[in-house]
Amino acid sequence: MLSTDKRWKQMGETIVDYCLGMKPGEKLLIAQYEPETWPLALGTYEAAIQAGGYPQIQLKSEYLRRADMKYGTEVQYSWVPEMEVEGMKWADCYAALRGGYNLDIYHDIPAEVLSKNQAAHGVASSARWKYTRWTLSRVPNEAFAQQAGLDLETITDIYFNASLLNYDEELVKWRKIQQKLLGTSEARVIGKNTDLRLSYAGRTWGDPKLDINIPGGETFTAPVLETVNGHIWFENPGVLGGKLMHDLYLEWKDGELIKATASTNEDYLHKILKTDEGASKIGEFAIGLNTQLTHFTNDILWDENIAGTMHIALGRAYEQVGGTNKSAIHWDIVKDLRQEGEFIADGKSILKDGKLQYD
Amino acid sequence: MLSTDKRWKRLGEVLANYCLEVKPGKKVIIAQYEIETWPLALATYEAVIKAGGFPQIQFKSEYLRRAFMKLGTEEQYSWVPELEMLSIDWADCYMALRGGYNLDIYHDIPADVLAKNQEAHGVVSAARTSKTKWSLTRVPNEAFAQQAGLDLETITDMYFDACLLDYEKDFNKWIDWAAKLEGTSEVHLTGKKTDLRMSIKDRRWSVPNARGNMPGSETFTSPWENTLNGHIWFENPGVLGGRLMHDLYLEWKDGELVKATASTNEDYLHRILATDAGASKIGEFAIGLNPNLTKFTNDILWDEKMYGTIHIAVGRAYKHAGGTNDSAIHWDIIKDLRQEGELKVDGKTVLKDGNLVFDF
Repeated sequence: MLSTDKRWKQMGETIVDYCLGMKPGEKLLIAQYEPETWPLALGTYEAAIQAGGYPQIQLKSEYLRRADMKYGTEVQYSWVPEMEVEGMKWADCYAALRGGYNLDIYHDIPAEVLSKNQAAHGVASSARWKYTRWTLSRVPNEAFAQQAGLDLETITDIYFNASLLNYDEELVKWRKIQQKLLGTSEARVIGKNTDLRLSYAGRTWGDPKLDINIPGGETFTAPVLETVNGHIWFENPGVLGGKLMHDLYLEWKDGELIKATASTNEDYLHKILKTDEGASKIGEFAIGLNTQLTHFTNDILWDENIAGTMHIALGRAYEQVGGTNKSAIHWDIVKDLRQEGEFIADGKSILKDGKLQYD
Repeated sequence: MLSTDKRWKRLGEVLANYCLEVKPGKKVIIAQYEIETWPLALATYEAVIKAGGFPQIQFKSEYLRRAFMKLGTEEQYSWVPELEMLSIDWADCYMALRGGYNLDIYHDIPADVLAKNQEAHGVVSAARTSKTKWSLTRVPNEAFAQQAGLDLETITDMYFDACLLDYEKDFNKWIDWAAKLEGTSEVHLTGKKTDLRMSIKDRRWSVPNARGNMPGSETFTSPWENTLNGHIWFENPGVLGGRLMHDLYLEWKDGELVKATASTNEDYLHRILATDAGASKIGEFAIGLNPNLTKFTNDILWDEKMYGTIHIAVGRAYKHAGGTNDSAIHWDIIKDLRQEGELKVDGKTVLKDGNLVFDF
């Protein structure tokens, strides 16, 4: 089970030194999701020791959550995992190494059971934000390759290429796009079945530094809600809660959603959009910057960073860029502009025919 | 990585319900050692949930210990893993699922570094035994198959056969056997290059169970260490600290060790036996009872339970068996009596030609 692919060690060092910035004496909790993630768990553990730290590993898996829900009572599946929370209180830093998993394993778990279990795990997530400096990586395995429609070697190479960058050089490029956007106030996205306009006057664009997600590479803002006008269609399915919504189309007039269709799971789409008032509004407007991410994987953590794409998130806005929209959801949906389309800000082309316009 | 071999689920239930007796509301730490142990970790987790408990999995591996010793400072590799200690405080029960591992991975770690790291992990072991209801199993994987000189399927089948017993029927028989040994006083072991006597007068024999170790089982006593007379030779190598001692031979006269030889690692053998005054005396004498353990694996947790074998441990005796010998070590060495040999107590045959007889 030991992997001698040295890139796992490099990846571990990137997570420890770059994403987390671990210092001597600090404690690191590694949450290893799924057994196949072991090579990276070991790589990260080794890097933490080399940084003078004290790592410990907790094993997690979607199959364990399935066991809670399949065999447990309500008290059991609504239980907040105590040792996980204790682990976060103990730790200075937290690395979540999330292997892919078969999204269908909850096929026979009732929705209300899932949502109670989700709420319990949400408490653990909040503890992570509250007590630790954290980072999160979706780690390729066979299940993830299958989800992405690729083979394991190809997707693993993409992962390393997109994560093991020369960050000194790469960040300069990423920040060029951010700087270009910082001086603007209105965006227009045109493309297939798409013409969307919105303003972000008075808001800012996030620094595309890579810390909480690896692979990373995006810059994002929060639009002024009532300025959203037009329609957008998505080349790739929207993904939420393991469900795919193909042929997704959304339309707003002065910030109000007036049309939402999909060729699959349309009922589910409508249910999500009705979660609360903010759920049908755009909380995040962003552009992907990582040129090493070339394939859609149906996983938002990767796909939102693909260079040549932009994404919106319905629901909760980020306060750090001046956003105000509130919602229980934050659902990212990625539009592929690599075949057709343009992202224009105040008349300046930011992305055209899949190419980022740095100058 | 998911295994659909239903025997993992059955074994998980045995661990949760028989070994740990998990009751509703109980908290259980599952220490999963090595990645390949995942099918049993999942099954144990499921069984704990079904029993109404609250399981959490902690991951451990010998490769992680290697990382500390290879890459860390003295402060780091002497560190007592804090989160493990917190988990032990938190848990009611502790299930250690120890996958096999390549015993040579510490080849380039200095002995003093290993000893310091071992000491730190010893603190965790002590906390486990004093604060939780615990159980321990050695789980077969490729490394373990290789250590045993077998293929993975054969050793896995043997594991399940040895663990998934009829716990009513088999154990009642074993418990009856152990009861027959109570009140006996003289042990006489003969076999190839072997003729050893010792007194066990007024000492106790343990009641066989497989709760603390899976697979089980054995019954053991502690002899009067000053009554050892004679010699013993071992068919299989003695194993300690990842080292094998072939052709191992030990001889005592009135409790004093007078000869100790081995064809490999003899220096190491002499060093172990010189650890302290009790290290060269027998602290435990025991009989393996599990008929489904049929092959030597070079792992003491399994091998000492093999039907047709006896074992001694040099060093620390068991107080609950009435033993008095004291030592920092407790090293089990197994003698295979399946080809040749006989064990008698008070002149009556207990084991002969590989079969437990108990004709008394």
